[in-house]
Amino acid sequence: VTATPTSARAAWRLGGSDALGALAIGAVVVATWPLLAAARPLELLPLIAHISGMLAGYGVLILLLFVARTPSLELDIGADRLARWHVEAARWVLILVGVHAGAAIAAWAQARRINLARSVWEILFMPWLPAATLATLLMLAVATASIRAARRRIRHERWHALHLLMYLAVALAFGHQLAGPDLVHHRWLQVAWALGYAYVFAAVLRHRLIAPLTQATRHRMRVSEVHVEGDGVVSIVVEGQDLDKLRAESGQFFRWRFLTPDHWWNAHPFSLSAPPSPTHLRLTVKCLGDGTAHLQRLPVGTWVIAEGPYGAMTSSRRTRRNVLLVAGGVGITPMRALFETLPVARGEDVLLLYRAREEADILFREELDTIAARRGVRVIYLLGRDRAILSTAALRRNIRDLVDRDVFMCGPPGLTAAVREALLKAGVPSKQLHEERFSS
Amino acid sequence: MVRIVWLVATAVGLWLGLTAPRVSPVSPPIPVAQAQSPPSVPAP
Repeated sequence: VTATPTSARAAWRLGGSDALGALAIGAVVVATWPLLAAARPLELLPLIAHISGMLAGYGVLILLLFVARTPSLELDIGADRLARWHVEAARWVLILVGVHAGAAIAAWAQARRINLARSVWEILFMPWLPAATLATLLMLAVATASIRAARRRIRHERWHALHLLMYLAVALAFGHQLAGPDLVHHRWLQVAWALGYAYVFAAVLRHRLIAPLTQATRHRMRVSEVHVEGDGVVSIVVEGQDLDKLRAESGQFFRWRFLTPDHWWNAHPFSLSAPPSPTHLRLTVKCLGDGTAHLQRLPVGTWVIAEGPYGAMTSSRRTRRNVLLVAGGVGITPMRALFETLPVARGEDVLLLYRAREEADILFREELDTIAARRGVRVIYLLGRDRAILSTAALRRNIRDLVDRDVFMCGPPGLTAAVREALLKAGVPSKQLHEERFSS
Repeated sequence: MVRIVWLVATAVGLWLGLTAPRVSPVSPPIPVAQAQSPPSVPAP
C-alpha cells in the first residue's frame, strides 16, 4: 500500500515563519493606526491605552484563528505548533488587556482630574464597558483555570468546560471594540473589523462543529474491534463508509469522540496506527488516567465522531531520498503507519529506530518485522534506558548518510527533544526534521 | 453548507460593522478646567 503524496500542496507551503511574519505585519499596522487616526497628538497614557486596546482586539482574533482547526493551517503549520502559539498569544492578550484597562483608567483620571477610584466608577458605567469588564473577568477566570490545569490541579474536563466561556468573553468585549475611539469614526474600518471577527467565528463553527457532524452522518463510523497490544495499550478499529473521502494519510491524527454515555463530550487526539483504508481506520491508545482509561473497555458498536484528519507529519514533507524514522514508546503509532506507506524506490532506504525500555514494551513487533521483510525497509529496536544510544556520536556512527536524510520523529517530549538536539548537532538541517509534539 | 456559513458570516459582519456606534463613549474627554465657566472679572 502506498500513500499518495499531496504533491500539489507540497509545491507551496505556508511555513511557520511566513505565518508569524504576516501576523507581525498585521500587528504593526494595528498598533500604528491610533497614531494615524488621532485628530491631534495623543498624550502618553491615552496612547498606551489606544495601542494596547487595538492590539488586544487583534490578538483575540489571532487566538481564535489558531484554534479554528482550519485544515490548511493544521496541515502547513501543525496542530502542535498552533496549540503552543495559542497559549503564548493568550498570555500576551491578557497582558495587553491589563495594560489597556490600567492606562485607560489612569488617562481618564488625568483628563478629568479625579482620583483612580472615581475614574474606575465613571468608566464602568459608560456604554459597552460593563460587558467589556465582565469579559475581562471571564478571561482572567479562564487563564487561572488554564494555569491550574497545566499544573494538574483541575480536571481536564472542567478546564475544557470553563474554556468555552472564552467565546462568551470575546462576544461581550466586541461591542467595546467597535465603539472604541480608534474605530468609531471610520465606518470602513468598523466593517473590516466586524468581518474579521465574523469570519474567524465562522471558521471555528465550520471546522469544530459542522465538519465533525457532517462527517459523522456521511461516514457513519462505529467501533468494530478493540484489541490489547500491550500493557495498558489498545488498538481500536473503526469501520465506516467511504473513509477514503476523508483523504487521511499515514502520519496524521484525528480528534476522536466516542459516543458513550459518560464520555461523549470528550475528544482525544490520536494518530492512525495503520494506513487508512476506504472502510477502516485504526488508532492505538495508551490508556492513562481518567481521560483515556475507559477506552480499554469501549464496547464494539460505539458510534464515533472523528474530527480531522489533522497533522503535517506525512510523506508530503519528505525532501530527501532516504528517511530515518525515530519512535519512542507509544509514539510508534504514526511511525508504524508511515513505515508501511512511505514510498521506497530502488536504491532508497527507510530505517526505523524504535526506542523502548524493554522487550515487553515493544508494540506491533510482528507487524513491523513483516512490513520490513515485505518492503525491503529496516527496523532496529533500541532497548534499555541508556540515553547515549541515540546520541550524536551513536547516530553518526550507525547512519553514515544521516545529514542527507529526512527524519520523522514521535515519542515522549524528553526523548524527542534529546534526539532533535543530537540530530542538529550532527548537522541534520532543521528543515529535514519533521515531528509533532502533543504533550507540551 | 460551507457557502451558507461564509454567506451568513459576511452578512453578520456587514450588519455589525454598518450598525456599529458612531460616537465613542470614551472619546477624548473634556478636561474639567475647560468645562468650567471663566473666572469673573471685577467691574471697573
